[in-house]
Amino acid sequence: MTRLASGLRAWTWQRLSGLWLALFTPVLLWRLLWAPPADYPAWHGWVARPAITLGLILYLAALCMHAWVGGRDILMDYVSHPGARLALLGGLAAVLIACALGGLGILYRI
Amino acid sequence: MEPRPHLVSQRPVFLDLLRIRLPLPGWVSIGHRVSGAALLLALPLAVGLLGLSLSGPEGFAEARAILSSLPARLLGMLLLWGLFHHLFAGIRFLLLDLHWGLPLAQARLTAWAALAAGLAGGLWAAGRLW
Repeated sequence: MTRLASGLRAWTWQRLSGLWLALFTPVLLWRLLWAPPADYPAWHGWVARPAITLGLILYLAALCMHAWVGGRDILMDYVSHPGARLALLGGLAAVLIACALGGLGILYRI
Repeated sequence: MEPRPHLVSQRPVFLDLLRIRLPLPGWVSIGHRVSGAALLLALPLAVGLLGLSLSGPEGFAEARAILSSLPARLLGMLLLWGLFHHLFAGIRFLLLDLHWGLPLAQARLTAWAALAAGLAGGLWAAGRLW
């Protein structure tokens, strides 16, 4: 874990994931706020388009990676008690892994 | 072992958060962090709503009903402002990483731009939600 998401590597992942989030967030905002789907078939059909499904899978992965590095930075800055920090980091990891797997499951069933 | 004198900082330590006058780029940075934390906390809700909305026509109607309730609209407005601020401040940080806009005058200008763009995006989103 330390080698996987700390130091320069974490910094690089934060920026690479941020780049994809910055590119794909406007697509999602456009679909959800500017041209919201009128009914279920329209919404389901849009998400099921291969480019959108793929974009969402990458979005989910980037989001969880991005949230992990950012959340970890915050916890390391503000929680100095080692036990509490470890517990919160574990909780954060569990929530993010659950979000990633849950999201992938939703997209898999599309 | 005593620390060598030239390594001991002579600068005063002053961390009274209520009295520190943070420059604008500092506020943009703090806002980026606060909005990031808020978006992180909202992520499980978003995944849950995505699943509900894609579960079938009934789930879609349910998700729409939840999202058009008053608390969801108010929370959504705040979160969307946070999202826009995080997006624009994040783009600014990426550009700073590329050494674009480092001089103080430019850094202040882009901080204003990120703050204003985030606010404008938040207002636009609020208009769409209402």
